Amino acid sequence: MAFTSLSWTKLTSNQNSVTINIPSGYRDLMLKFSIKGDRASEDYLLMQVNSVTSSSYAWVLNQADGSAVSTSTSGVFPTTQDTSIRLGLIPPSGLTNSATIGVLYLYNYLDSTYNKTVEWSGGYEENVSSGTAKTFFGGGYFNSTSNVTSIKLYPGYGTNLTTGSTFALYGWTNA
Amino acid sequence: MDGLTHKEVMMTEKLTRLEINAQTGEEIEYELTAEEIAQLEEQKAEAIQQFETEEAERLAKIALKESAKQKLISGQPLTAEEAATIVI
Repeated sequence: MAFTSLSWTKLTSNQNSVTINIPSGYRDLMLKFSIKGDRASEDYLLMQVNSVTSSSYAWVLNQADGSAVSTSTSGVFPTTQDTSIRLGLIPPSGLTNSATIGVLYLYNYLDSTYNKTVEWSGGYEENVSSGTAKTFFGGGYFNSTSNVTSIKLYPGYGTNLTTGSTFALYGWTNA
Repeated sequence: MDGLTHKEVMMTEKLTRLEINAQTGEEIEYELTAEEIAQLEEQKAEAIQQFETEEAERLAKIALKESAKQKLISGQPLTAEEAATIVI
């Protein structure tokens, strides 16, 4: 099994969204991200694929902060579908020296047998008053058997992903 | 940025999105058009409404659980909703 680094980007200016156009030729993909946003309060990190903005996604997000755990979901599929996948949390913009780091796996992105599934995990250090960290993990579903050709990440409440955020894409092949 | 709409932000700064071509490594920055900003506004408003509905439901559950706890301590009967918060 071969593992290839496909791209690495560090934002040099704020971006409303970041879209990674994916090459074919791999079996699975892994996206590693380190992200900060411009919202003063904690924000959500959202994802869409193939520029699909309609209600075509399902997800479950679990989070914990050392004292409490919670779970949220887009609802009962397929009755309820969302317009994006909620990946996790972006720390408040004022939280210095701390960004959300995470990893997302996208399996069989060129295989038309099943709808597309992603899983992810991540977290960030709150590092000031309480000294705790927030972690999250989840799974999501794109209601389509089409090849995945692009992944878009963007903030739920805020306007931008900010300078210094990084995005690294890797691919696996069978060989 | 709290409290500012994308249109208001656009008046003070240019809104851009980045596209990365993982095949070639090319990175292209696009300025959002008025149409894209309008669409974004609409999507953002829907998303925020959803977030706030969820947050209200989460806070209501916490309040219900706290109410159940206080009634247990003081020996008062619980409502079915309150009992459901402590019975698995």
